[in-house]
Amino acid sequence: MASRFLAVDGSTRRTSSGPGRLLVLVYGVFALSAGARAAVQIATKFDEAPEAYLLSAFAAVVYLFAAVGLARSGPRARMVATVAVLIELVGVLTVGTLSLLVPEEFPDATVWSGYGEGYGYVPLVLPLLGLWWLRYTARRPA
Amino acid sequence: MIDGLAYVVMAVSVGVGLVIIGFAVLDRRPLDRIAAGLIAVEVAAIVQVLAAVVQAVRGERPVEAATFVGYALTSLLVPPVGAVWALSEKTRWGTAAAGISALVLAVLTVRMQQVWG
Repeated sequence: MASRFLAVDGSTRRTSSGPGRLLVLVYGVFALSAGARAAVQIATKFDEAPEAYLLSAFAAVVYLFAAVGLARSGPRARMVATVAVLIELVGVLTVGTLSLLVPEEFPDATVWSGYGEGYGYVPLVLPLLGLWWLRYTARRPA
Repeated sequence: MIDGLAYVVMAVSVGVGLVIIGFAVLDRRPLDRIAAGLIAVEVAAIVQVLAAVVQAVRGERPVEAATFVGYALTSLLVPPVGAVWALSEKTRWGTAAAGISALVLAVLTVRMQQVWG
């Protein structure tokens, strides 16, 4: 199953070209905006909602790894991107579900709250596109 | 934030973004026009952040100041960094990515208005 994304034989198309250029851009924007937001929140008002801010910071790091993994070529970058996108998918599904079931535990919205409803559900669609793209490029040599 | 200015910024961002995506659809790549559009987007982002700084100095602060600062920094960085990343690929996908990096400013402007209060 993993080989569908990883293409261990190395005969893969670059993940940074074609539609991948768009994907990396969107991942980069999310890494930057979530990261800048979390950094400022942690620096200025960490005590108000530490869990939410740490979660935002974690999401930013995941987005960064996905962006860099997709932007670079080679099996290791592909592995990094695959793991990051899978963590992202688990994260948005888990946090999205929890934020609906126990909203009192999520005082301040994060990028993954409500399955990313505050961001037009892009955080939910993005990992699916990422996995599709990793699989597509793994099956088709350039 | 000044709502009128925000709408101008969104109009510039959406207009430039759609025109560039139009170039991508037509598989054309007029770099001088694309660059001019992206510079206009960056100027709009800078004007908007400067206006917010002036308001903040005068005592009008955003409700969620920390989040606003995060988005403001992102709005300044996305057009130039996105453009360089996008245009380093000489295909229509690269052109489309340049258009998206222009559209992102409109999304960030909406978010900045929301967190301003």
